[in-house]
Amino acid sequence: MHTPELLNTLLDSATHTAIVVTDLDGTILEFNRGAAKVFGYTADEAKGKSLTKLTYSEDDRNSHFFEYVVEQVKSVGWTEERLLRLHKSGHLFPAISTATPLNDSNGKIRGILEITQDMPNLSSLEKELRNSKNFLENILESSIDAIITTDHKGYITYVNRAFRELVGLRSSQIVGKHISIFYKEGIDRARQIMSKLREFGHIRDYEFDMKIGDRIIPIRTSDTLLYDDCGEIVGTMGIFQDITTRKRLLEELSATQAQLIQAVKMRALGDLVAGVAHEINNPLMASDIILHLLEEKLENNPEMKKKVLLIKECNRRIQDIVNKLREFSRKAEVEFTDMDVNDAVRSVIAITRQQLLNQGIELKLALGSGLPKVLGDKNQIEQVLMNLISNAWDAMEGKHEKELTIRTYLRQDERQVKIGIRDTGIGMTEDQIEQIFNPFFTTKDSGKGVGLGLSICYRIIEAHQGKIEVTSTLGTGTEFLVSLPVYREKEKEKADGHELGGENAA
Amino acid sequence: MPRRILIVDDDILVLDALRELLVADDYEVLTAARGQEALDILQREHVDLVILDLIMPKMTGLDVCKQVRTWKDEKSRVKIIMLSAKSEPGKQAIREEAEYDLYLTKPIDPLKLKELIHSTLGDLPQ
Repeated sequence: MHTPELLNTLLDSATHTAIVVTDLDGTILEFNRGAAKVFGYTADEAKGKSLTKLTYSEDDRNSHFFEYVVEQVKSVGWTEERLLRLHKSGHLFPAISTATPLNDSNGKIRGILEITQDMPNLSSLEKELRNSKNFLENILESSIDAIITTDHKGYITYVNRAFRELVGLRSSQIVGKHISIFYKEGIDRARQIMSKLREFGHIRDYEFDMKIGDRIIPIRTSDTLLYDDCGEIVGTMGIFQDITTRKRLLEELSATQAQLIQAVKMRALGDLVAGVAHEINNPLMASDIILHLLEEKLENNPEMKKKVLLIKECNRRIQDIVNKLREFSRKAEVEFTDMDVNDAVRSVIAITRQQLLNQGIELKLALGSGLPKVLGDKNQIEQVLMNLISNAWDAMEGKHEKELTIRTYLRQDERQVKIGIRDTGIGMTEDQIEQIFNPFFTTKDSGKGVGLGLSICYRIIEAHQGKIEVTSTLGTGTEFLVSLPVYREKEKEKADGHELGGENAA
Repeated sequence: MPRRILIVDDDILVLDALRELLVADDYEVLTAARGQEALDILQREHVDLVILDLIMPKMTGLDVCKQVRTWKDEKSRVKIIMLSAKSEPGKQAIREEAEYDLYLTKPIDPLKLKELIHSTLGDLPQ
């Protein structure tokens, strides 16, 4: 039992929900207060009119959408639709409607009960969504680190401002391209990163060389996989950090460190050698004197005198070695003077000649004559030459033909004196050449060198305002070319601030 | 009368060898292995020339040289040859302060040493 009054009260109490009853043709039978609010018509205006005419969009009316609703209600028992509905004022608004059948006492369907709510919150949701999207995009765009996303195949879907600035391209020039265009090793590197990502889900602080046109930039990256709601991989996100500066600072630091270590080492070696030289010189002199006395006594015994002279010759050799050691170790103070590079070459050769011979290395000297002097520290230049010669000889170990060529010459146009040291050793690859002056880089077996020598040579020559270059062919040999600026009197004046020696002419 | 030479060196090997060399050349030779010992001899005896090792324990050759030059009598003008395994200190000031006559570096050719001793003594009246 129900009374119509109760029903009407119930219907009207739903003030924000439209409850409309129509017959199967869509003619409005009941129209509650909520419906009046939602659609803009009074109950009187609405009753007897067509629901579709009053509240459906033109499109839905033309597509006979109401007939579809009736079909659904008849077959399934109910239907829920999200539609744009028409308000009396003429504007369309999003709404959600549920339709159910109205049956007579025989269970036969007589009409449709439609309950409709507009979705006023939808637009504010949309706004919120947009705001939050802007907010997130803002964050991405303001990031100092370059951010890039790709789809699961590696095609770029988004790059932030920092990324665009890093590569100097616009979004439209990047999005849609494959990520591998930015890897120096191309697709191989892309695959490598992707397989790591698939294995671990993310990568932290991975370093690689980024290719931007002709430039190569060292990058540190952290990457993650991106998933959709269902847990499927939809792409990747990478954060790229340009570590050029950091790397350079690090290299400079290691170079400075290397220099320090070398300086300390040289100082210790210098002290040691000076001490040893001193200790050797005393007995050497005593021996010299005794030999001299013996020699005088043996005027009439040429056989014996010859032997004494031989021992004297031995003493001279010892003295030479001691002197060279002492000169070579005197590194404590760096002293720039006008110097002859050929003298430096000869000094170093005097020390190394015998060892080179022992190694079966043929030494070829092509020292330019009449070379102008250069301004430099003789000890340091000798140290550089010593190092280059020692490298040359290591490079030729095990080779059949061992030939060391040292040449000096003047490049008048560059006002540079050049010293070339060429070996017929194993040579180097492009990669090795690129790194050869880096501290701690070495091509030698462990225990044979820590990779400091050439970086120190580089620093020394740099301090001389000179250059050190290398050309090498794998399997054929290597030449190091040291260039030193020609000495000019003015520079010496600047360097030590008092009178000039007058002998720089050459 | 033969010239008297005092050899000062803490290395006995050097001391003995130098003595042999100079005795063979008809010099009268005195020896000392320490700086203080050298000063004592110089105070006591007449000496024409000192061959002085630079680096010795306690009192160095330079110390001995400086000390001698402060004396008020003619002993302070004895000829002094510094003989060292170290090369000559570069600073002009040191040379001026110590006022030695000659600086030689070990090892030195015996003939050359004899020559230099001879020429250093040469301007002394016989």
